[in-house]
Amino acid sequence: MTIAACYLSNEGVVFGADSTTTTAIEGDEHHFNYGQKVFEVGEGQSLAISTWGLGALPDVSYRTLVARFADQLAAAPSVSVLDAASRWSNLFWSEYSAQLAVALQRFRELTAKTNRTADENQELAQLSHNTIVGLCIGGHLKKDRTPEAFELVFSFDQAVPPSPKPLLPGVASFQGWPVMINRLIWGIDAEVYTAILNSGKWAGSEDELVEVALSKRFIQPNILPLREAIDFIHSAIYTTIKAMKFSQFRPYCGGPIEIGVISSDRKFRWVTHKEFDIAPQETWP
Amino acid sequence: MIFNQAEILKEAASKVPVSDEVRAAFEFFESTGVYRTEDLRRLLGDPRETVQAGPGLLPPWAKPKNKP
Repeated sequence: MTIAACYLSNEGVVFGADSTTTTAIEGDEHHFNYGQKVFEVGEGQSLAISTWGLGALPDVSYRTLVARFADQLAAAPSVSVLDAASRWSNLFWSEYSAQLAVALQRFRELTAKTNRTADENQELAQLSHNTIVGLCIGGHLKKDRTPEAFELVFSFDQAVPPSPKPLLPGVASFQGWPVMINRLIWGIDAEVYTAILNSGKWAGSEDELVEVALSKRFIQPNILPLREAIDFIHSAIYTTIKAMKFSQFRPYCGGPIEIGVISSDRKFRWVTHKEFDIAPQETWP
Repeated sequence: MIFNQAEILKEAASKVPVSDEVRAAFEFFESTGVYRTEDLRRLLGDPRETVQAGPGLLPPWAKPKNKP
C-alpha cells in the first residue's frame, strides 16, 4: 500500500510518494523500502507521473512503460496535458489488460457467477483489490505553460481505459491509504462516521453528526505558494508513514519520501530523491 | 506531570476494547501472516478513493446524502 499525493497550483504541479512496496514471500508479506513511485517522463521534460496500488505488472516495470511513453511523445508530441494523459491511459491499459489477462478473465468469471462459494468471494475480493493501479500525470505542455494534472485509476471492473479526471488548482489529492489522510484532514473518516451512526447511541440526524464532526476540522488554506505546497505534501506523507509505523499495522507505507515538482517556468525537478546506492548504504556503520 | 498524563491515557485506552471486527482482523493476521482484503479495505480504506483537501471541500461521506 502506498501514500501518494499530487498538488496542482497555478505555479506548477507537486508529486509525492513513499517508497515501500509489499510483496508476498511464501505466503507472508514482505516490505521493500526503496521502490520508486514518482517518475519523470523522459529527461529534461515537463511531465511526470506518480503511482499507487499494484506495484508492478508481471513482465514490464512502470519505469519501462514511462520511458516508452516518453519515446512516443518525442516522436509525436502531445498538444496538451489532457492529450498526453489520454495517450498514457491507452498505453497503460493495453499493457495492464494484456499482462493481467488470466486474472482478469478469472475476475469476470467469478463476477458472472451467481452462486459463489465463500472461497470464491474471497478470491474475487482479492482479485479486485490487489489489481488496482492509480496514476497521476501532470505538468505543462502548452505554449501558455498552464500547469495541469489528471488522475487515472485502473481496475478490473472497467472494460475500457479510464478517462483522465482533472485535478483542481489549490486542491491536494491523496491516494493509496485514505483512512489516515481523512483523519488528519477531517478528524474523522467514513468508517468512524458510520460506526457512530450505527452505534445506536447517536440521537441526532446524519446532518447533525456531519456538523459536529467537521466543525473541528482544520480549515485548508487557499492556493499555496509552490514551496509551501511541497511542504504540505511532504508533511502529509511523512505523517501517514509515521502513523502507520506506530500503529498495529505492518509498514505498508514507508521508506524515503520522494517529491518531484514541475513549475510553470521549468522542467521536472526532484525536491527529494533517493540515490541508487541508498540500499547498500544500509549496511554501512 | 506529563508522565502521569501518559499513564492516565494508557490506562483509559486499556479500558476501551477494540471492536469485534478489528479484533477478528488482527487474529486472522496473527494466524495467517496476511490481512483479509475486506479488513484492509475497512481499516485502511479503498485505494480507488482519492482524498481531496482544499478550501471549501468536504469529504465524500458528508456530501451526497446529507448536503443535497
